[in-house]
Amino acid sequence: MRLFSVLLGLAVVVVSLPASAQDPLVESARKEGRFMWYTSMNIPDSQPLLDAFTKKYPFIKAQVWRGSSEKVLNKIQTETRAGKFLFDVVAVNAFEAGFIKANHLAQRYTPPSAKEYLKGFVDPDAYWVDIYDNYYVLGYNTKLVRKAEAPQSWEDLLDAKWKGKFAMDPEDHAWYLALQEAWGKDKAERYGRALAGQGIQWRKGHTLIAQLLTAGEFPLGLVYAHRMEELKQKGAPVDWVTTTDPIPVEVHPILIAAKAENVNTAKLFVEFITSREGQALIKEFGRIPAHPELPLGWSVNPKQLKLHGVGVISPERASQVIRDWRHVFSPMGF
Amino acid sequence: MNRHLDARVLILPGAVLLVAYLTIVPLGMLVYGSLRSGAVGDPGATYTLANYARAYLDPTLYRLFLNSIVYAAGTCLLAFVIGAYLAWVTERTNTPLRGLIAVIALVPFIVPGILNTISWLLLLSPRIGLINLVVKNALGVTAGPFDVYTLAGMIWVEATHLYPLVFLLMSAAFRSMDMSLEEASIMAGSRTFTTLRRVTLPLMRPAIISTMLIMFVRAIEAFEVPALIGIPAGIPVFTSRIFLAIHQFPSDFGLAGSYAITLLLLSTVGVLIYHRLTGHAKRFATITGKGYRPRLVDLGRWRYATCGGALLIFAVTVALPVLVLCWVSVTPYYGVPSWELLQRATLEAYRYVLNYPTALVAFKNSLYLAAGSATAVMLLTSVVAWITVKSKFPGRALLDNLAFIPIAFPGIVLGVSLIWVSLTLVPVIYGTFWLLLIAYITRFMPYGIRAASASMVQIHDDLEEAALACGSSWRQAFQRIILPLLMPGFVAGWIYVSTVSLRELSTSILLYSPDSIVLAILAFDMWEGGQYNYVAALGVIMVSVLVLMATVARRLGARIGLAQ
Repeated sequence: MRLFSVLLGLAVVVVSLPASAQDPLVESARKEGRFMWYTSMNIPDSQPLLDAFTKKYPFIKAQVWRGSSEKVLNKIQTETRAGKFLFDVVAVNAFEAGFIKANHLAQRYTPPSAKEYLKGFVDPDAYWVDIYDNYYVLGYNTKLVRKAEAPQSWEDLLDAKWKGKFAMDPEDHAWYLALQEAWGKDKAERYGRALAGQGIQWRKGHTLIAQLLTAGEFPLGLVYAHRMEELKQKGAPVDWVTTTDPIPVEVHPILIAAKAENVNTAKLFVEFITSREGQALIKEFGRIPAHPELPLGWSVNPKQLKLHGVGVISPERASQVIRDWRHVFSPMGF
Repeated sequence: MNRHLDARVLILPGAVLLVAYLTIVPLGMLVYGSLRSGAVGDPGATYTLANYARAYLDPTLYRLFLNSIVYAAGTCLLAFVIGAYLAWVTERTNTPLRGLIAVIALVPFIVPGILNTISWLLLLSPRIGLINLVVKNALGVTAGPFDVYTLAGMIWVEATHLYPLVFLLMSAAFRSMDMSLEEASIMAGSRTFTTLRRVTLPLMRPAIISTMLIMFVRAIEAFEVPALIGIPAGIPVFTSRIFLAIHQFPSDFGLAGSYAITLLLLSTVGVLIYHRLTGHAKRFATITGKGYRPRLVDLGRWRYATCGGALLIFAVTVALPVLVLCWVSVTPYYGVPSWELLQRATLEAYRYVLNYPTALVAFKNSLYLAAGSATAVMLLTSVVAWITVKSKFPGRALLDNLAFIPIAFPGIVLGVSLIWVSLTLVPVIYGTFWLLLIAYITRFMPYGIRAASASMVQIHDDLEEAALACGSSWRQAFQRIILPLLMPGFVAGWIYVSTVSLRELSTSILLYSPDSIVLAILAFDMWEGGQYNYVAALGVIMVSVLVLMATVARRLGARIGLAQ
């Protein structure tokens, strides 16, 4: 009897120990105690993610460095050429992630939750997992365009009545890549040339496009779906078209540095951010999480959309798309 | 005698070496990179002229360059007229409200470039521009009179953002003016404006050329206005090319570098012209042993007109864009002001900005960097200006040029070069405050040298020689005679550098670390995060803080005699 109570006591102790104490990854991370994350995710989103992570693992000192994807890549390239691996984890846009993968700046790791992700959102070679998405959609100002009149497809934009009424960013490369993949290069180019002939309103930056669309500077614009949803909730006169085929989806992969100094902590963080818990946080920030089973709370279910994920491609392919894009659209005016 | 020599032997070569180091390292990286087939550090790269061929054999480049020249010349002239007018009114006339005018003239500076440009889009867009809407409603016409998406629009937006620099530099020059020369002209029967044209302005030639030179090069290398207005207007400029080269995959720094060489040459030619036109420095010396206290011109009743003119300039160039910012910052999304939207006004954006993660750290770092870089730049360039203006050392024009050409480095090129140098030579300072400080000193040295040099020219050699003859050392003469007399230019440069350093983004972004984050990075972060009203709220806060600081500084300055 006495032996039994001792055993019972022991069992209670073992069970009540934090689950993490049994995880060898957590133990190794505890020894490292810190890590550095380079990301293109802005600070009000990336910092709370880190805070939640360090709340869960209080022995880790986590730091984030934030810049646009192209700056992240410039920084990584210059640092690694000088022989330093100062980052442990990096999260950037798809094109930059492709460069990092192709140049052996990342290492393989598959977090446990990766098996719940859809095809196209996890690297078959195990270098990256997607953490959030941007949907490129056709947004419109509801004061200028009634829902019934709004274009229903990308092709509808070629109607003469939309001449000079549609805004895009001069660097919407991912959108064009999706069209090339979905339609084939020739059709995409024919379409691109026809669209360019419609007098596109070029505006630098999706923030500016969304704002000017709301203000009524132009009735239509290529925008991010989650931005439109956010503006709608605030009462702004905007909405977006759900029927375009495809709806290009740009992934934002996370990767672990090839020579990460704190590789275990890095793995633990990737595990956290791709888990339901981390993904739920990303959803809370108004972004679209990569995890397929988190409801977005939109009026439309993403499963009904013709989504086309723009995955991580080789640097050569990315350069080619950018060249094609500049050739077809001449967005800078020459 | 030895003791006297020492300071000079240490300080002068020290300053020269520092300038040379700060400039030549990134310059070397830039030139070297432009001659390589791959990125610096890329093992497979070879020497090549291919980057230059690609850059300059393309005929469209010259059309872009022409656009840039017209744009820069227009900006330069318009900013000069506004800035010089305000400087003259506040420094040389008895116009009422001079103190207020001097403070407000700085406001356009602090408004981040993106915000200023977007405010003007919201004011002058043909479709939704508020000014156009008001005119349309008032006159019952269908089209508003203004279109911001034109070359004229670009010039207007850039010039109304840059004129505070003209104001500062020209104020410093007016302050060191010698009234007796003007009095002589008036005695000889000239009217006030004839005197201004025939005596005052020619005497200020070094300051005027300095100012024009900075404005011109700055407008040529600018990309904010060309990106936000020029792209929709279909007016590409020279820097569009640099932008495309860097936004390739991966960034083509070789190509970007070979374009930047044109900017370097342009700046160099500018400095050479400056030296040619101001070569006989003594002709411009207004601060002599005879006492030079400038007196105010009594404008009589005209003083109300000059005051009205200044207030009108502010109403248009400061009040309108700042009001738009305020409106944007309190509305949940942008819309033309209406009763409906006003009812939904909220201070949520301010709450958000003040609770932004790391906002406090960024604010502190930015203030330290602003004060630190401004002081360091002005001390360094004061010594350099003494060498280039007062000494007979061979190669002093070259030194002036070295201090000036960082103005032509694309920010990202400087950033990459500093990453490389600090990681390979002094890894301890990587990511620290100190590396940012070095970056800022390099980046803002050009403005310091123009301010210091234009003021140095105005100081007559006699004063320093008198001090030396009385047995003071060079250091004592510099510290007690030159620096105090240089104060107007020093303070003007200091205010400029400290303010623009608050906005510096393109270099900081590559060099900061979580501990050394700065305000401009937060502002850009918010911008990319997609919430324009938050960025606007930050802009309004920055403007308020600056106006408060400028007012306090002026009060304090008046008390300790700096403002005079």
